[in-house]
Amino acid sequence: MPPFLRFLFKRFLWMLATLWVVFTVSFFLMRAIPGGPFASERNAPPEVEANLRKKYGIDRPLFEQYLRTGVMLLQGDFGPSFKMEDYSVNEVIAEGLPKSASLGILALWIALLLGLPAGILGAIHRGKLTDNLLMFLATAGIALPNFVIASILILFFVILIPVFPPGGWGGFSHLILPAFCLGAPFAAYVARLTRTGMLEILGQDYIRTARAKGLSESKVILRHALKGGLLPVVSFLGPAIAGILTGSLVIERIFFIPGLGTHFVQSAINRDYTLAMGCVLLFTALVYAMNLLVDICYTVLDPRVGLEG
Amino acid sequence: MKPRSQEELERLLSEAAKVRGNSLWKDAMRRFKKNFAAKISLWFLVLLSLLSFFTPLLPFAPPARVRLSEQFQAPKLELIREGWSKAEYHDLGWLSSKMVDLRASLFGTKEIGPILGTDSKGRCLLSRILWGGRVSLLVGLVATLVSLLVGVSYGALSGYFGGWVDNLMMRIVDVLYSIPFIFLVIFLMTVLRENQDLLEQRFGLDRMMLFFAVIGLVYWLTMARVVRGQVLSLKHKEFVEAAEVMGASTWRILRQHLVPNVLSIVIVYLTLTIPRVMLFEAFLSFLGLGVQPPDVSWGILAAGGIDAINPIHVYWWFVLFPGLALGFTLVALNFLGDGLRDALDPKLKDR
Repeated sequence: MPPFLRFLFKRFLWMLATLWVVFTVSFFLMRAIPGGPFASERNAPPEVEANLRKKYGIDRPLFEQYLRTGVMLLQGDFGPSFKMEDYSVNEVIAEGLPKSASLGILALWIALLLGLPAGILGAIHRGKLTDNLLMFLATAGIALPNFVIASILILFFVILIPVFPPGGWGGFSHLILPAFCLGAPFAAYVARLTRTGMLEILGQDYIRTARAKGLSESKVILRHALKGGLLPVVSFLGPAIAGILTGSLVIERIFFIPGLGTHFVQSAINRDYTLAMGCVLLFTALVYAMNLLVDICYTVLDPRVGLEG
Repeated sequence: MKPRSQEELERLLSEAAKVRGNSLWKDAMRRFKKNFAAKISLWFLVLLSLLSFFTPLLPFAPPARVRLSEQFQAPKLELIREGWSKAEYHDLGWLSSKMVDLRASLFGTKEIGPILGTDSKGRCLLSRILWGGRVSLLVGLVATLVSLLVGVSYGALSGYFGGWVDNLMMRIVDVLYSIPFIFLVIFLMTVLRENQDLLEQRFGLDRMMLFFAVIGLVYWLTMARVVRGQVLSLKHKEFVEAAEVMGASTWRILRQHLVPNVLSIVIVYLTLTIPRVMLFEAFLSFLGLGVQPPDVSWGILAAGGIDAINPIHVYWWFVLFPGLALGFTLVALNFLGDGLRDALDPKLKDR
């Protein structure tokens, strides 16, 4: 097998193993609850409860349930939602995922578009006022929770000066404010990483050579330094995507966006176990896939790094 | 080399005695003192901790006291007023209870008015922020210590044993790293909330302790990796080999020789983990899955602020002040952590 395929294969196996661990842990946690998921239904006659349990297959022995659920998951079927009647988990995910995805992608773009120039500027003006100011902002951006940023921005741009709609799902204008709040902490990280990476590269011999042969400063920075300086940012993209997924739990709640994050938090609060598990598994798989993608990009950008499973 | 006289040798010796080498800690102190932002942050955090610790002793309104007649009052300068009783406090621990008693004898029935305004139930926001700070800071500290304990022992053992043990232990960390824990923790908190009574009766675990443990158990991974790397590089230094030759036990080598040497990097990661843990607590409480009312934390206050946003009445104080408290504390902790890192390990500067 060629090394690239072997690498992919190995990582795929690791992903399956991780998903299996997550599935097993959440399955047995769910079933460890005394009374089961329908215990809170008030005054349900025993026949009704028995029927419910039969419908969702939780009247069978535990191990059989485990195997059945496992096989169903392998076929890509997350089963029916426990609390949202007439909806399967797949349908809920199919409805929520595109919204969360567009929010997340826009947030990532904002993070890069704000973070990269800030980092490059900071590195060029190292130790000067611009640099200090930008890095102060970056530290604040990393430290502040996104819901604090969101609440203050809502206060200003929705209530005091109504530029943006307060929330909900609609046109592009509904997405700007939430995506900014979601992307801001990652813009801060990107700025810091870019600055560090650029500073390291700008001290290298080949940059001195480029300057010595009379290239303009902008050419030195954009053509020669940027490619190497971006490497730390690329390796940060994996964790950033995971973080944006997490952050959207809060942001979607604040801005009333009916995406996957809202569904997940609701399912956790309503004890809708199948939906919660479906979301956990989906999030895990997404994070894993994104990390894999980032690793591949990294080796393309920096041939010194080999692919290792 | 020409032979030296006795006098000359003695002079050299006394000169050498005068010159004191700079220890790692002294160097670090010198560098730290030059860092303005980190110094200010340190003072801010010390003050905040003192204030939070002594909150029950000071004349603030009881944080959970509902006064429907004072709903949504804007901040106003009513400095001193009368009227609180101990019955208005909920769930006081032993120490806080004693402090409240002491407060009664110190300040009588006087209390500071709602100078930061009140919330939807007429509770004094200033007092809620201070009491919430107690919870948030405590969660940050205790959960970080849990993660420290687990991470340092795991990393130290893994690095010390090396070989296949190290390989296996680090593979486990790798697998755990790739699991997005926050989702699992949310799931876990849901399940645990369900079994709260059972856990409390059978194991004597109350909600807070559970919360500390869950957060602490999530955040040890980075610490374990860092400590392992450090131990791995220290293991083959001469002084460790000397200790081994002299027959020191594994435990003794770990405790006496390795742990003190990884201390500086551990302190740095400790200060950087506290804000992350506090952020996580705020995040969970914000979603309604962390600290539960009537207990109050900064996450709960921030959630309350967002819920109160509406276009008709702008309760800005309710959004702004809890956000500022959380924001300033987290920024200060980050500056302190960065400052300590630059001071203790100047090689890492600009990273």
